[in-house]
Amino acid sequence: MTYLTENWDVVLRLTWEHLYLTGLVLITAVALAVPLGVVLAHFRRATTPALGLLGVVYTIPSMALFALLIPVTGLGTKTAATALVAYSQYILVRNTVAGLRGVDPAVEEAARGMGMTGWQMLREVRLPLALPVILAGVRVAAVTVIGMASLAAWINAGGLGVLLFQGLYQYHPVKMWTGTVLIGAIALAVNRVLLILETKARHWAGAG
Amino acid sequence: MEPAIVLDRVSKTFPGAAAPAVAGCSLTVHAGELLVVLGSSGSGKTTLLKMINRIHEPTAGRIVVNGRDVLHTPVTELRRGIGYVIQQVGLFPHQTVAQNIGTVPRILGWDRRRIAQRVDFLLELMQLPPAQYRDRLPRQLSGGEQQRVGIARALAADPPILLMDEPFGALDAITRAALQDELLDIQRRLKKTIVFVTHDVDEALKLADRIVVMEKGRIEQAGRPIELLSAPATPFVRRLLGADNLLQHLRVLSVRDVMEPRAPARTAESGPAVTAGTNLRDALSVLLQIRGEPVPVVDEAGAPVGQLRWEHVMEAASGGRGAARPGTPGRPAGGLAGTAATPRASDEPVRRGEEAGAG
Ligand SMILES: Nc1ncnc2c1ncn2[C@@H]1O[C@H](COP(=O)(O)OP(=O)(O)O)[C@@H](O)[C@H]1O
Ligand SMILES: [Mg+2]
Repeated sequence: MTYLTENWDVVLRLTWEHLYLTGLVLITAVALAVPLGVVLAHFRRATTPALGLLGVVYTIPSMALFALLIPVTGLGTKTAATALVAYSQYILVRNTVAGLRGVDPAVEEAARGMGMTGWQMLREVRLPLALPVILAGVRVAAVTVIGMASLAAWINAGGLGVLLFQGLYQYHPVKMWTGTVLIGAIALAVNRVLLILETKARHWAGAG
Repeated sequence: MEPAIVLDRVSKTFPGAAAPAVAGCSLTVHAGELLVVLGSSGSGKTTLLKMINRIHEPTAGRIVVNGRDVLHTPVTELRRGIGYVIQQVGLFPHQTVAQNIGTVPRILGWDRRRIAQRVDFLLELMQLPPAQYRDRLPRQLSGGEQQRVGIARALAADPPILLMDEPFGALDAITRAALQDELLDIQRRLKKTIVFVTHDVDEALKLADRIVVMEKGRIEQAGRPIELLSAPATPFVRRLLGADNLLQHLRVLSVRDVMEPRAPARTAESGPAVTAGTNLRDALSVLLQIRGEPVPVVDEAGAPVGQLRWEHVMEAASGGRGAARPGTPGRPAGGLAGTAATPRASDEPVRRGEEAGAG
């Protein structure tokens, strides 16, 4: 236990790195996935092949994906972030498409009939109504990314995974436990917050 | 006056469909009239309607709205000038009643005050007290209230034209009747051009200035209700409207059409009376109640304007000739053979008050 009292600053830094990587990945991933989902919801025929492709990425073992990326982006945060963004695309894009497709056709027809432009419909009607499903995707993606970000330590990207690997190699159970508990706690907390947001959005979007 | 909507040999064949959904339909909708498109399910009514606001585009023919070819009008501009009401209403579930109604004014850039005033005016018009309904969400409304909001939303930017696709089809009979009455009242007050799609013959006879009967994508006949009843152009129209049932004829004629004007009659207080706008079927019911005695006719204000006798109704029932009685000014003759599928101006819309035996 002396480890924790003597090294609390290191643990704090690693927690911050973990959160930073997760946040960076999620923001980038959502910024890519939502527009992609909007486009795919429009071009129905492209949806199945595109989601198929993202699904394939999703099934590549993370270590293998890191290894594939190292020659391109080198060791470090960049590679970890790129890989994790690529992973989360499948869930995020799929949910964006599903959310947009799930909007009541009568609501869309009314909006179109009133002379809203495609952009107005998207901003004022379709995205708000798809939000609960999109947020559900963000929640699953967030939890996945928090877990997978532990592996980032393996390619020198820092984070709480550092504690896990050190604990493993140095046979230092306190380090391992500290890392495990913190990662679990972050995942649970983020899950909880996003679930609350999702419920709020669902209520707001009129699905009760 | 310039017609509000002109359809010129309009056809629509959906990709991959064997037969056209709409085939060579020509039709003129006059400004200020309530035109009902009547037909069974799948006859092409919705497709026809959706071509007017360009949700569908015709594969042949031309559609002119307010003097402009719809295909040469920017589609958002076209639609903002045409109110659109559908059976499923399609209110935005995440927006309040006021936000829903304010949609088109908002995208047209009206200022907040003006939008708020307009919303309150429309809620009043639709019999929904603004203070009570403004901030509600759609899911907190009954079906009838939702459609009232739907109509208010369609009227928000005061479009001259209203397209309605079976708007009351999902409502219970009582709510439907109430909304039909309100629609007639609104049209009288706001003078909108309304194209109203329904498969319900009773609704069509109640609402229409003119009816267009559609079947298999074609217009079977267009004309005033009494014209369709007294001279159905095809066996289909005859069967659909129940033209052989004389009571149907009586429903589309009003007391005003057949009464004896200004006869010295008892005052309205001394017994039952009917208003001039009452339809003849309801007037017949009053005549039966008082055993065929002449019944005084009053105007909306209750002032005597004539009297209705048993023979007037009998005459009207025998082939709708009552409507063609010589000396009735401004009315086309009844039994107009040869008007089939020829749109006619209705210079004076037949308005039948619903107040049976008001006294
Ligand atoms: N979007 C569409 N794509 C293909 N076929 C359609 C479409 N909409 C309607 N149809 C077909 O066109 C015909 C007329 O349909 P519709 O206009 O909806 O009839 P109604 O409103 O009178 O019930 C039907 O056979 C229907 O199946
Ligand atoms: Mg229809």
